Amino acid sequence: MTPSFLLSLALVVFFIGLFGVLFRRNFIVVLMSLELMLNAANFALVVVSQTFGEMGVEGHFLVLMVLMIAAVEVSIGLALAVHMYRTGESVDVEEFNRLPR
Amino acid sequence: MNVSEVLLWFFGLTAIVGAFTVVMNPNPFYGALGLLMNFLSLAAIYMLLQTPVLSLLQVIVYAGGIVVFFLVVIMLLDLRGDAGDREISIKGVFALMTVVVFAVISTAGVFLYPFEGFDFFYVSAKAIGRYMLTDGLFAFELSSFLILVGVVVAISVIKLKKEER
Repeated sequence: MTPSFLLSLALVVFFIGLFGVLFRRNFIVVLMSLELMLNAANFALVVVSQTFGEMGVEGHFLVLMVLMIAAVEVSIGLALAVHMYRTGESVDVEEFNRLPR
Repeated sequence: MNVSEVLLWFFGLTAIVGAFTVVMNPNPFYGALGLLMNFLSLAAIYMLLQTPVLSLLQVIVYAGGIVVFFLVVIMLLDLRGDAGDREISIKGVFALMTVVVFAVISTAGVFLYPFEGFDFFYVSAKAIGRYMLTDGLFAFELSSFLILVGVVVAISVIKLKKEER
């Protein structure tokens, strides 16, 4: 099993997530697609770290950092979704341009 | 083909099916379940790559924390009126074109320059913790500040009143 196969799996998951971010209009689904992209990036980091790293520790540390950033991003994004639903009764990203005047 | 390669193919396929469920299912609840399927498949693949620490963290943090968070918010909000995602629009065509172009470029990059020599490092939690507290100490401390900022921002956004917006 070569690293190229595993990297192509990460690429497939990453581009499915990118398509979701660009295509879907439900804000919660957009956040879930962002999680897919971050997860695929994690996977690619692990594969490259197992291939090129000295002991494989650096990639694991980067994966931990990405995991922390994903948790923070999801908490703020879902807070925004709840606030958006309270003010506009919708989580459509097309209506996300109503800034306070 | 030995057992681990068969398992790798199987979990790779379930990861892709879960990702498709997230993107294509109009119901966000099934999307969250597809996300759970993707996370668990990647955790199994991490276990096959002999990185058990990341596999367990993937199950605990992603499948146990983030997916539950999504499910709670989906059940908190009543989203039945938001089915309008599936129509073919000019935006969808451009999204598909962008994804296809980038996918072709990067897949060509992966397969034109293949690299060999996959080593199965066994990375223990002790090694990760030692790296985190020596070389990666600054990033580790900064990450705690980022989590603090995330908590403050999430609470203040939730507590916004209608007249303050």
